[in-house]
Amino acid sequence: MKFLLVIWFWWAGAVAQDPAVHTKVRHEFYVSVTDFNVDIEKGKITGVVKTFPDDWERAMNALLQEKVMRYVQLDSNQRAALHGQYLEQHIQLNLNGEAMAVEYFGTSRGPDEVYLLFTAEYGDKELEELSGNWSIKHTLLADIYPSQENIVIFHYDGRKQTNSCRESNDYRLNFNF
Amino acid sequence: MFYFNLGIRHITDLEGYDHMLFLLALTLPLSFGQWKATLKWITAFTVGHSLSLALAATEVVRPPSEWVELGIAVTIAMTVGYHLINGFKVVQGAMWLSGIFGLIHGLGFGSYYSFIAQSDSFWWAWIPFNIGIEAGQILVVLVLLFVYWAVEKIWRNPKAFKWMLSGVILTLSIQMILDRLSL
Repeated sequence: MKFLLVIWFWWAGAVAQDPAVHTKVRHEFYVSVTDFNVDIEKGKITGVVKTFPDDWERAMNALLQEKVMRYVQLDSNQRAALHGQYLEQHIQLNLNGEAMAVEYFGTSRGPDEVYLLFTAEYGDKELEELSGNWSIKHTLLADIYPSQENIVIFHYDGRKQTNSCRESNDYRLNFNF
Repeated sequence: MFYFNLGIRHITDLEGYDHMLFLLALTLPLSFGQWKATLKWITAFTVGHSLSLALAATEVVRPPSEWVELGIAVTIAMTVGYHLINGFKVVQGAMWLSGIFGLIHGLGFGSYYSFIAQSDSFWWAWIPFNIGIEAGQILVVLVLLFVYWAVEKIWRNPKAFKWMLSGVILTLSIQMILDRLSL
């Protein structure tokens, strides 16, 4: 028993002093939620990404690193341009192999979350022509958090499907309607 | 099915191993032979965390997340301490302890769930998410009981293994408390 106690104290001491051994200060979760909505009335896809403000700011700062700038230094127009650039790079949408350009629309703030609004034009297609295979690549924040999980809720003609883009599926999803 | 998988992934997430560490601490005195006690303790934990998850996710209660995180770390240390004091005996009080501590862990699950849940499918997704957490929990407990069983077979003094394991858990949980106090 004495031997075991010695082992334990030795181990405890090592853990306490080694900064490389950490206990995860918080149970962090790296997650975002995105709604895609096939909006027949507006004739386009409307979407909202919900994410954490601190994560979002970190991603923006990473983008600004080359320019040696910080996100807080930017005015609202510069921020909007940066949001657009990031969002358009990190969300890709395809219908039956045909790419649809994602366009940033605006930002809204909640008490503990930030909402990024976007649209994607699908031209003059009718509802029936919008059925088939919707393919989504969603790498939001995956550049800064390898365990980032982007939950996607896809709404089409009163139906919805939910899944998530994460490292294990290469941040790609397919929905069939 | 998606929310069920999400529940499993949340409890078995190695990035945030605090819930698993609690299960490890809780099951220290248990073995496959004590399946009734195992069932009671785990059910008590489930009842506790399901209740507080619902309360936290609906924002009926909204304690600061720093306190919840600290509370979770404290539950791990206290559970080990409780088993050490009782000499790893299976005692009735552990079931109540598990239920009460489950309430604290549920507040942690709740903050995650309230972020991911959609208002139009809040309860519809709550059930599979909870069942997923439960399934993940059962999986973790079965693995732990198997490890205890294997140690019992190959080590002539299995209690020494539990003492050592307690030391490891206690050290990690105390470290966790200190980390979370400094937030």
